[in-house]
Amino acid sequence: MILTTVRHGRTGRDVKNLLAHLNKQLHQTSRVIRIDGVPVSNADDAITYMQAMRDASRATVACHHISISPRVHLTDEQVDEAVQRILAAMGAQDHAYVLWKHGEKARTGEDVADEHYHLVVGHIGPDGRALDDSWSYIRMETAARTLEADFGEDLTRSRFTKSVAEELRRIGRDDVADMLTMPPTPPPSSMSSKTRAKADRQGLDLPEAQAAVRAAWTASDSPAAFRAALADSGFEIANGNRPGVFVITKNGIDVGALDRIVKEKRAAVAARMKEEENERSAETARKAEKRRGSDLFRDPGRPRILGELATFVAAARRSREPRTEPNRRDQRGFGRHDRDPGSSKSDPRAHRKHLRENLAIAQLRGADFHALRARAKAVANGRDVISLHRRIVDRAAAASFRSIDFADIKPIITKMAAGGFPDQSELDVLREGRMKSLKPAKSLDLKTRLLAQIAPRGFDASAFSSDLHMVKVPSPGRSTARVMTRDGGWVEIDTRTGVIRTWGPSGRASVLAAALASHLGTEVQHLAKTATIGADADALHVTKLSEDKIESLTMWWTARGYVAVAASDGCWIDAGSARIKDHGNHMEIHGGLTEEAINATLTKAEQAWGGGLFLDGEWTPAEQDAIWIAAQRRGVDIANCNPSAKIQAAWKREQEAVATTTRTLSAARSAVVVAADVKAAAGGDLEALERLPKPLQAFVSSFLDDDQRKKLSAEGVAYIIPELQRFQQIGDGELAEYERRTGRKFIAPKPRRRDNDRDNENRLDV
Amino acid sequence: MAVQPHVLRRYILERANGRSPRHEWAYYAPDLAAWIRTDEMTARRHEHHQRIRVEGRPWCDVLGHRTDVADDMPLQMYFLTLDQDDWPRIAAAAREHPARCLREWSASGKKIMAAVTSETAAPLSDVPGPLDGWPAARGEGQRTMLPR
Repeated sequence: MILTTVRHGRTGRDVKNLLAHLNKQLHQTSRVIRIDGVPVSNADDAITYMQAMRDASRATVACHHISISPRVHLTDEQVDEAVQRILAAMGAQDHAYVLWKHGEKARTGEDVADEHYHLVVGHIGPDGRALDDSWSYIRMETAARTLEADFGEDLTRSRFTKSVAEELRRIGRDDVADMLTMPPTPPPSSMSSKTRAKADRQGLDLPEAQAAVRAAWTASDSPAAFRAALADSGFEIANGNRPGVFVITKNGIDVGALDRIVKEKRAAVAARMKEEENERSAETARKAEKRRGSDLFRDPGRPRILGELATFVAAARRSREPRTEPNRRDQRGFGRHDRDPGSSKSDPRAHRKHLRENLAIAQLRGADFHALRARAKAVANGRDVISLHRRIVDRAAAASFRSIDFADIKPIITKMAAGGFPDQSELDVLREGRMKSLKPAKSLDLKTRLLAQIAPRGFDASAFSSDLHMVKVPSPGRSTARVMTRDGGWVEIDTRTGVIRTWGPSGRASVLAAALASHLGTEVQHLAKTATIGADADALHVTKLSEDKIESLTMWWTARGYVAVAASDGCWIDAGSARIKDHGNHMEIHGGLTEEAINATLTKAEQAWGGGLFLDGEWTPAEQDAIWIAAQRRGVDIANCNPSAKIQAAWKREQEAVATTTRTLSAARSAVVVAADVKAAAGGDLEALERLPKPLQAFVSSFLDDDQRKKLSAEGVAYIIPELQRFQQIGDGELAEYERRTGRKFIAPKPRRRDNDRDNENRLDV
Repeated sequence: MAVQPHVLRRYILERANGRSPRHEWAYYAPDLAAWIRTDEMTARRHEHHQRIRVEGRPWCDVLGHRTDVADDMPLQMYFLTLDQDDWPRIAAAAREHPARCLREWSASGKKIMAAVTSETAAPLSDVPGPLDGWPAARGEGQRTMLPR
């Protein structure tokens, strides 16, 4: 039984990926078989609980992921027992946990059960305390050995037999400790989980492939038969870099080293494959050693010394590493140069033969051999074939060696030229100098691929691989792609309009933008820094913001409808054609003081800076006028701003216009009420009539006859309002005429009392 | 900015159909490849969401960031005189004859403005209002409102 432990849950993405892996149904079955230690009913909620516990504590991880791979089929009781022992070994008996069972998955050995388990245990317990990780490997190994002994499995050989035995005796399992024997050499592993995952991504089932190789090895009685059996199954065998190492590949994908796959000693495998012994590699290695010992001291030229030094450092590093330790780097890249036709230029005839073989295999298997065909064509034309990945790695290596400070390494070279040997600290200096400027090739590879994805077709992205700091591809919320270079510059590619914009420091970003623009046949727009604004005069000191702060700024702007991107140098906001860098207490506007930039700035001042802002640096009178009048409209105070007399007069006029509009609106609302009453009164509503002034009452009830009232009541209020003044004048005349004719004052008809009103009055009288 | 008839029609139809105030948030529906306007709570439940309303920019409760109708004073004056029940009627009119509606309603709004405040001059309209010069004379028929 093999137990592995990995800590997870530092980020939401990590948890998401873990859950995706655990719930994956591809080539296997997956189901949750137990949730305990937390009162929820599904795995997602349990993991969310673990994250919540992490957030409530100072811990950085949310959970531990333990994979349980038994050799034999376990009963439910045995699974329970295994889980409880693992929890006890971790000290996590009362912690929340979820158990997945994966079944029907191909394993490396035929005698191994095709099911395994994944246990995810919360890092924080109900008492708010985190798990103790010290000696966790030994504790898990101990638990695994006791389970193997109790479930009748063979004991797995451990690299820490002595420590495990001590721990077994400490917990009172002397019987298992006595069964442990120290292996003569630590057991090698044929594949790591990373190797397996990489092969899986390339479409190769590694356990299945290795099982096929083992079967071919067992069934063959000679190297020739083994070769034939491998070829039948579509495998290739090649010599590795080291003597006695044979590399198995399938369609160009590494399956592994033969000795590790068949789990035999390298010497034994080499003896069996005697006729295939890698004499050439041994000879090459001897030549390299010889050259290393002589050239370095003969020629003092700097470039050559650097090259030799790099070789020497690599050799020294290899020699420091224990030979028994499985070298994963080597395991991943066995014989790469031997198999890569682009890198081996010594024998082009051999390359052609190799490519023909590959093409034949690919054709037979119906694989996509477009790349192979292109490569064959290039070789036939006499061109060198270097893959995108190879170009990225080469360029990154060149960049890293270029960036080495010669002042740092001069003492080391002098020492070596005098016959000395670099010590550990000096080698560390060399390594640090290299690593400072060199990102992992995988990361460079991803960014370069993203750049190739957003750049126009045919653009060579690999030339800029070491310049890329961040690549943002378009998303539903943002139509443009963005690249941030490592010197802090930005390039924006609007593929829809073909516009290329740059802002920030004009270093590599300008070069990249120019290359993209020349490819698209357009011009580069550079958004130069226009202005700086602060919350106040004291807020203009530039300080580096934490990632959390930048993230919160991004969310602040997004919640207000702006497109914002978090970057290492601050939060960048889109404001029309301008870009604004928000540092919290001050902002930089790049690309001109556009209306959108002013709006964004004033929003910040209004809602985050307490309604005031301070203009920093050089502002033209026009810019000051533009931001001043916009600030007046929004009630924001501006310091260090001198608006012109013209704009102040314009603001006064604007205020007067606003006051007039307000008055007009107020008067219109009153007029609407009166006009609505006139219309209602004309329709016979006596209550509305009573609310009207006397002249309008006379106009509606006395001047108009019933037919005219009917017409008036059918008209819209909008048409009555303009006539109200005239109706009132007619009503005045009607009042005078009524008094003259009847000799008494006009009294408008009163609305009829409703019955309940009368009842109320009576009740009051009583 | 002068109001375009089709914009007025959109404004009237939106308002008559009760789609006001306009939602300020939206989420992206990958299956439709479209942004769906909704309230903030609903939008935040989706992976891709955004606030449509950009703070600091003028906002109309009916047409969002397109504020030409909301800023048109004569039209707003005219709309002030409408009851809730009037909106379906004017929506039908705007759907059929948006340009004519725009012309008539603007003229009507300007007349109202001129009537309620002396600061605004009355417009010279080619189309007389239905009550221009009405009534020509005192009514001679029955007056049932007056007490006998």
